Amino acid sequence: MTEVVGSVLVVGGGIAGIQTSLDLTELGFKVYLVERTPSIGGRMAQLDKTFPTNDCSLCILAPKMVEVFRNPNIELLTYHEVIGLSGKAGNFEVTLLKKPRYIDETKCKGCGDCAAKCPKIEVPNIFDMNLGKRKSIYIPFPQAVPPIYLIDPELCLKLTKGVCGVCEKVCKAEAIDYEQKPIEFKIKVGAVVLATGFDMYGEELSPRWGYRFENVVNALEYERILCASGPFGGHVLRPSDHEEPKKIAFIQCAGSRDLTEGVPYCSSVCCMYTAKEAIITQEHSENSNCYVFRHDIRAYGKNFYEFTQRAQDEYGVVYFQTKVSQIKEDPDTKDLLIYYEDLTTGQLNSFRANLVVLATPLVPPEGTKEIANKMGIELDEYNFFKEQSYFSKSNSSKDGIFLSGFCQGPKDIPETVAEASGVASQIATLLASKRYSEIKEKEIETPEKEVKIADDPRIGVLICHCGINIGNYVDVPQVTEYIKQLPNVIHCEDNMYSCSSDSQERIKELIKEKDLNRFIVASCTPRTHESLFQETCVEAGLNKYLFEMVNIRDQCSWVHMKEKEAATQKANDLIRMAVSKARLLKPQSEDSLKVEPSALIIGGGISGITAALNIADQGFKVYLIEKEEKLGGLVNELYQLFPTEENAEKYIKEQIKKVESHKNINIHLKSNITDIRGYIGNYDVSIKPSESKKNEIKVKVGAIIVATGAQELKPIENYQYEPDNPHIMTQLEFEQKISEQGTDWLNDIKRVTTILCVNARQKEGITYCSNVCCSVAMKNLKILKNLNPDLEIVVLYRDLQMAKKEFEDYYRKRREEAMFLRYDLDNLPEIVPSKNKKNGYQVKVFDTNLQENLEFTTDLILLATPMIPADNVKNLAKMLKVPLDGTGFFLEAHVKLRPLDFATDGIFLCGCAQWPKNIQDSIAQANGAAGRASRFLGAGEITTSGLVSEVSEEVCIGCGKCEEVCPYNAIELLETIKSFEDIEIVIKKSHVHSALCKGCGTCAASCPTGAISVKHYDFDQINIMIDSYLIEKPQME
Amino acid sequence: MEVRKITESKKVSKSERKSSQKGELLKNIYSSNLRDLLNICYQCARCSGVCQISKVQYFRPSRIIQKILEGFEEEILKSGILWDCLMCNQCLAHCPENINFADIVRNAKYIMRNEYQHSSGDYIAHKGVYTSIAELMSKLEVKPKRDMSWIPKECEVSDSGEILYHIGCIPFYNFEFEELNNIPPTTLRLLYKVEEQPIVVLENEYCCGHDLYWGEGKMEEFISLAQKNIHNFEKAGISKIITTCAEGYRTFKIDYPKIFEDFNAKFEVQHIIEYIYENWKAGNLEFETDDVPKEQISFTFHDPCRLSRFLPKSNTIMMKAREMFLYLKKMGYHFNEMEHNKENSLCCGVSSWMNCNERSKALRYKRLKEAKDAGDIMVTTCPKCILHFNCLQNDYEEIASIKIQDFTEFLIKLIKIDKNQNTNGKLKAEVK
Repeated sequence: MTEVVGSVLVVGGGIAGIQTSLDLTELGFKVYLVERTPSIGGRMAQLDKTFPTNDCSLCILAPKMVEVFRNPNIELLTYHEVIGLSGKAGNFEVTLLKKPRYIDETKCKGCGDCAAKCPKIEVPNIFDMNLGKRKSIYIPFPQAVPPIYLIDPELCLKLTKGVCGVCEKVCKAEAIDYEQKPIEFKIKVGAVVLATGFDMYGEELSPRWGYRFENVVNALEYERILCASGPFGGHVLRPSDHEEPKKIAFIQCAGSRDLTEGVPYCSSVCCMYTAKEAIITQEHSENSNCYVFRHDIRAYGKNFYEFTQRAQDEYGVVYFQTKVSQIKEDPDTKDLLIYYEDLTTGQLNSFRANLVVLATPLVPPEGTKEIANKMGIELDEYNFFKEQSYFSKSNSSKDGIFLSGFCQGPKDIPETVAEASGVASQIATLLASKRYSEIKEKEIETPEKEVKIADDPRIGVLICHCGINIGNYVDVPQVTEYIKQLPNVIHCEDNMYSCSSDSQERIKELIKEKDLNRFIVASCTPRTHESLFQETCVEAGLNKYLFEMVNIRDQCSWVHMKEKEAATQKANDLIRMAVSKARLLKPQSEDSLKVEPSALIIGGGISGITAALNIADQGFKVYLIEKEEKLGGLVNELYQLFPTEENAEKYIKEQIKKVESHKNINIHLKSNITDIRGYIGNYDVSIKPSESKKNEIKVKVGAIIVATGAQELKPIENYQYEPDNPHIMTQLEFEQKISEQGTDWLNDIKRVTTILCVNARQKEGITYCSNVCCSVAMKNLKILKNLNPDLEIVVLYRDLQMAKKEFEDYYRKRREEAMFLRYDLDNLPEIVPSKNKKNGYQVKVFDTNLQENLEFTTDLILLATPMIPADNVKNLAKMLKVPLDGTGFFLEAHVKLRPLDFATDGIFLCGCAQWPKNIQDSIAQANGAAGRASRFLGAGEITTSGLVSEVSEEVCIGCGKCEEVCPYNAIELLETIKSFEDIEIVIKKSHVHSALCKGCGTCAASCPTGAISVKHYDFDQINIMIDSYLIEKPQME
Repeated sequence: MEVRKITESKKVSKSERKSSQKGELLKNIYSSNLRDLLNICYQCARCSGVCQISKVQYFRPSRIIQKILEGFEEEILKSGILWDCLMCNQCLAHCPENINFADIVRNAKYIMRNEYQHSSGDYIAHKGVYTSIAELMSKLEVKPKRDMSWIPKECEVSDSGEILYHIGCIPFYNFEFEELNNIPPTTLRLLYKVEEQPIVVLENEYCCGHDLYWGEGKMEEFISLAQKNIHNFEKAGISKIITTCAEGYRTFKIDYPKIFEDFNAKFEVQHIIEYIYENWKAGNLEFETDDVPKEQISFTFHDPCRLSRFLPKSNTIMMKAREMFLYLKKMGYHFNEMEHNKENSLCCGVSSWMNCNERSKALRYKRLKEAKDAGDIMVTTCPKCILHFNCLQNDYEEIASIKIQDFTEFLIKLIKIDKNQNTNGKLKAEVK
């Protein structure tokens, strides 16, 4: 047997690869993260904002990029390619190629002096979608990770012609190396994750879309135009004349869902990013108006549909429901003329736009076929990597090779992130025997030296030139002289790069030699570098909370480039303030908490089952709680699974059998949770069987997964629906009926009418799109047609939500089997019992395609209603202290990047508890949630931060304000009985769970008595910095 | 507003029952169930926006399709609106679901004639005289004896051999239009520049049937013509058919094989553009002229729909033509594209002799305006396009200056060939 290796290769450094890598290291595996471009970040780094929260995309991504960069267990291999693979699951040998950067990665500090002096030959910057320019020595974008420059060998004068060499002369770090050659090398891994993302069509489109015209851009190009760090500095300008466009037209389905363009599938995310881009445009630029030419609106995700409505109702974005026929350019003005048919009037119109943004197809990236060949895996019919089976989309066709993100098929960021966590957890199962085998934990040799509050502060200060980044604008030697003379500053010196490895040695040396008990580095941003310096201090025996960092680059030299004196003054002020604070710094301790290696899973549907199996397979104990008398959840109510057409009962029985026979899984049927106490790692849960005879059971778990599912809405009093009417029923009722009663009753039926969006996507009431009803309806349509090919089927729809990779083809085939009529919200279909036909109904509908009223009879009506939250989730949410959203589903920590977490550590969610979703996505999420939870279960213990709030019990009056405002549920009011001379009363005291506290300080700010303070940022420390600025400020001459 | 009622749709239509008379062959080219051909439509309405006839009259393919899908097929067929379709298939070039609307209209025409007693004569130009000739030829007993006097003396043709030049209907037009007369002799001269062996020209050549097939939906007659043609080809022992006509090319290349599967295996069909391109690439002929114009003459190319949108996407004829055109710059001829070109070409307004009226004239006018902006000469390779453009030039002075030429006529003076050298070349190749 081949030996299993405890490390993993991740190919692709976009959000999918980043999330997979981070989760893998937390699960105990070493990661080689290979990225073929010079920086990680991928497509997400190129986006301006992300829907539906309109967060700045890079702002939420960059911390994760930095986390990857700092993670000692991720070997970051940017500008590398995978060129070969052999072996099998558990033990692969991978050949990698390191492409020459012509820069010594170990020396480059990313200061940018080289690019500043590089001769002014500029080429289009790929990161800016070729709209901006870069030099021949460059980093793709300022926040690139790693922050290491590289030389474009085709453009560089030195490499092409042997002249110039300026960069070598100006690089103070001596990092330029024109002699670098490609290097091939091999690594051993136990599993491979492909996360290669997507490309967006531009020139590949047929000419009708007018992409060749200057003022026609694809949506990624438009993201760069919108972006503040983009080519136009965030001003919405059009490429031809850099004028502000007054009318911007967004064209949907510009090549997707189009056999003529060779893209038969729906790209899934365009409806949403278009709404986002239009909203951002309206916000950015007062004079611009946005117009969207749309077809079906496919807003696939939580409250996404409402987002597209908000674009219209709140931001005045105008939507035209039509496809455009042609786009022409007016050669004089470079405006675009869009020709389309107004569906409401039948008129052929033209629309003049100053700028056109095309939602072009998202396709597998260049090189996908080659990777598939090298890996020996299959592609699907659209050239995405093929999944092993529909319900396990994270597995490629080959064992041990996993798929993460868009390379498997179109999906948005939250889906990608959830799936990435799922991939990590499945790898943890595969490589379980080698967990922690390749992980390094740093051993600290020097014991921590004791620093008492009474000790005199002995402060050391290091001031960085950062090449010329700081040094050219701030007079660093003068600042050094000024700081030197401050009280308690024992030593102060300046250097070229404080972050270099010899500087770390210097810091350690200084701490020892000068017996320093505080250390300050004044350089760049703590976001990227604080942990490095803290580590250095620890190595020198200094508690890491005795370190302080000052940012004199981003907040000083960069923003005051033209006012050098003021910049120098500000650097003086900033460092002096830090020195004042440093005098009051206290060593803080970090506790470790034991984690109970077991999980509670609430809900025994397909999500709960999947999560339970995953965690149990990793070797942890699982308690699976189900309120009904059998496992399976909503799948029990299905007849067939979409779109595989498997028998639902057979499928779920197999899954249940796996759970029942698993030694690590403890099943509690017909049970409810009555009480949950504790915090991450240590929950005490009371479970009460609903049969009153049985006793309450108490279990102890380390993590909790909420998988409570959802239910189908029963549209009482709508469309003549009432329970038990055999002629009008919901989709699920129909499936149950054929499961239970067989299909004979269908013989009397000639025409079936399916109505979509019943009680969904309304102006009031349920406003959301429930995402799954369309595909369920399409599935049932096929079932009906298979049972009786002569059946006539009419589908009344508004938009068809068939957004996933294989769904469009499924829908295309259904078109052949039924008549599709589009209606709108203003004219809902009407149903009355038929006068002529017994048991028949008369359907009246205004057909918006023809703009005509239609009437027909039907024998059976199937209503597609939305999914709504499960019963009693409010109570559960209260017990768990986790929030629900406005629609009653559970609310995740962050809709984009933490889709499976609650803000409270230790509690996770998956499946329809979060939002209506299909089985495939529920399974992917369940695996993801299992992965998120087992990060803690596997670790055995967790280390709490020293940066937490603390309560002074004497001052606390137990008012509970802090508990109310804490976003992480880290505060609890504990009751104690206090005895006085002649009375005993119950007194409440605030208590902080340091395992849950994130040190945000919200409680401290809201405490009316000042009983709470945050360690390392206490009131004294902050006050003295302010005092230092205001009182000690030397007069400028 | 009026309320329409969807009723039970008919299972079998009359014409489908009738189809059994003609037997199995008709099934290959005719389907009575229009809904089945259209149901993948998801109502994006792009067709209505690009439809060429919609620019001059109310005609919305997307709505016609939706009505048929909703069961109002009868209403559509009864109204006769589909006779107005230009059959240019601009919509197909844009349809995301690849719906071949012209082909559906062709089927509908068959139904409209057979079930709704529509007379195709009501929509035909020139009182249907030209299509009548084709229809006559389809009858079993009719055997044409064509005029052969136009054949140049130096071109000795044969009634049997490998390569057939299918002349098509051009000679039948000459009592009304004379501008096409030069195409057949020019083509023969071109062929003889390359070929050593005699070319087959049949005295009893039949019409290919294109106009009956597309214009009037006369499927049975079309099948007869195909059968008669194949009989002729086999008798003459030919293995290759060369045509100068876009419609003839499409018919032989695409439509005959639909009825007779082995047609393409038996006969190689080549358009003259492909033929010249191939021989140019093989070094069998050269573009050369002693008569280079002093100033560059600009010219453009009108892609006939049958050579662009009506061929599979893999076809390369359009690109081959352009490769040759660009090469001609050396000889003083500068190629310019019109705004609408290749599969996006504007329509000449008339296909299969249908619907000559002020609306189709307007379309033709639009096309010639584009041509005028692009060059002094407009080359094309469809006799009917040439006729109709020429006709319009008589009416409008402002577009009269453009010279409209067939591909063969335009090229013949630019092709040089040294027959001996050519022969030597061939001999050398054989020696090797």
